[in-house]
Amino acid sequence: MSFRKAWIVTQKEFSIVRLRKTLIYFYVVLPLAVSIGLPLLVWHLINGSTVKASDVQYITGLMDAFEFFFAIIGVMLSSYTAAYSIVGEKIQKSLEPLLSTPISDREIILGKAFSAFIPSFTAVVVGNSIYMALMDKITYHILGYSYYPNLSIVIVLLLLVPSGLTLSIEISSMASSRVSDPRSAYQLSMAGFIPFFIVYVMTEISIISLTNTNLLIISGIVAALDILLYPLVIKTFNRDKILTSWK
Amino acid sequence: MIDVEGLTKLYDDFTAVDQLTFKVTDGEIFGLLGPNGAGKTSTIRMLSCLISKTSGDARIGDFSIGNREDSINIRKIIGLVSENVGLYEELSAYRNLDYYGKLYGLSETQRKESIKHLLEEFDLLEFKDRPVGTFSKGMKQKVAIARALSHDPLLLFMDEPTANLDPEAAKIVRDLILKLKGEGKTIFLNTHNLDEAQRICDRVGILKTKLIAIGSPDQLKESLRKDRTVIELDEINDKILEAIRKVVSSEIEIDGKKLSIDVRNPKTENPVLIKAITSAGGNIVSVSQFSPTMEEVYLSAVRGKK
Repeated sequence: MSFRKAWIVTQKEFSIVRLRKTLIYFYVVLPLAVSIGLPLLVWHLINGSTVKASDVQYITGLMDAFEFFFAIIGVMLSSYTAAYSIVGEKIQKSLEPLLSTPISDREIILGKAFSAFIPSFTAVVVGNSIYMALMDKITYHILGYSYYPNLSIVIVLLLLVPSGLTLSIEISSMASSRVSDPRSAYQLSMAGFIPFFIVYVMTEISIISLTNTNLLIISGIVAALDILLYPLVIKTFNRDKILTSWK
Repeated sequence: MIDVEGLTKLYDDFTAVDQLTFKVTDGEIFGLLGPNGAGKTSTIRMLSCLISKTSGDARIGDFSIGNREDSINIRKIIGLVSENVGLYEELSAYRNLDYYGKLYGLSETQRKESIKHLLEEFDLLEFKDRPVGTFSKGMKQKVAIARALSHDPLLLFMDEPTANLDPEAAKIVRDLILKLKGEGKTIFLNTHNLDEAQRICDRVGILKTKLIAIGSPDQLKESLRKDRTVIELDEINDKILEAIRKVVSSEIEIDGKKLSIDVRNPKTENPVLIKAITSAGGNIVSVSQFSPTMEEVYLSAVRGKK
């Protein structure tokens, strides 16, 4: 497999994304809204006297749960891009000429995966950096130290988000073979979003807490799902199937 | 250039292509004719290594379509103009061609030269930076052909290249195909257009899951052995008809004062016919000779009336 060829596909996808304004706004607005909105919420809670300055545990628990939001954003962004990328080829009927070039099926899917992964991961990291800076600024006088960066955010950014993005791209790729409309593919690929949302709800109602150990376990489960789904993605993104049985 | 031996494609229980055997020589324009669902697109897709074969084999140059490594090499030396142009509508003509140039492994300099040359040749240079979504169908088809030629392939597969084009755009594409032949390219063409096949193909194959006829357009017409002689008389009577029936065995069609008679060899049979008519007192006004059209050849082949 040639990464150079996969990267050619990625570059082409980037040049199309650059021309789709809605996709750009999605990448900018969503992470920015979360990275500014969540610190503003905490600031409001502290200044509105809803939370006592001494209630440190509540604030840090909230911040831990909010970190999970970035995994959810990443999944949403990458699902959207991957769905558009593959279904877009179907709509424009460009897969046949593409497959006639000396590029393998795996190089194509890898190129498309990169094109969904890289901007989503970048948006999450940039959004998370803004979030961490604002949170530290807001909570420093209560906590007496900078809460971020810490080990849990490192686990989220380096393990959970990458494995979550990979899972959503895999689900989007498989969903895209069943439909010929990007919105339908996106809706189907939202299946990848559900487990993350369930975990988030479970933390909010205190069924589980997002300790470093739990974050590692969740990341491990998601990574295992990535590995399990990979052969299915390869089987789905097969030139015989693309040209004869894809809808 | 192409050597096909017993090539077969099954989709589950459905046989799309059955035991196809033929050769296409270097520099030839070979046309594959056939009704919808005859297996033309499946044949092109197998030969261009887009889908797998079920059995048999085909060699493109020195490479076998059944071999995984060879299939990459085949895709390096062929260009495909698919039935749908399949261009990226948001991107400019230049970016579309540049993308494919990269996929074919051309250097930046090679890509620049190749794209400039192709866009100039296809009169698209002034539109190179416009999104192809704004192009007419004919312009898009030109870009699709330019894309297939961006790496200077030895063999070009074209699936219905003039379908959905207006007559003027179709003529431009046909002229382009002939020009490519002049440059030494081998062209394998799927078409529904019988007139097109007759005008530009060196040889045609008629496919209906199986290959039911193959040869040059003239050879196929010859094989039908059904030239038609139309003789106009000032009067037709039984004596004349009887005289004709003595010298020809085929059916005689009468339309007013015109007689239509199928002849196998006009050069030898027409003088005999004329002599028989005049001997019976017939007064000939005109004699016309009609060769079978490609449409007649095609219909005869696909209906199994050969």
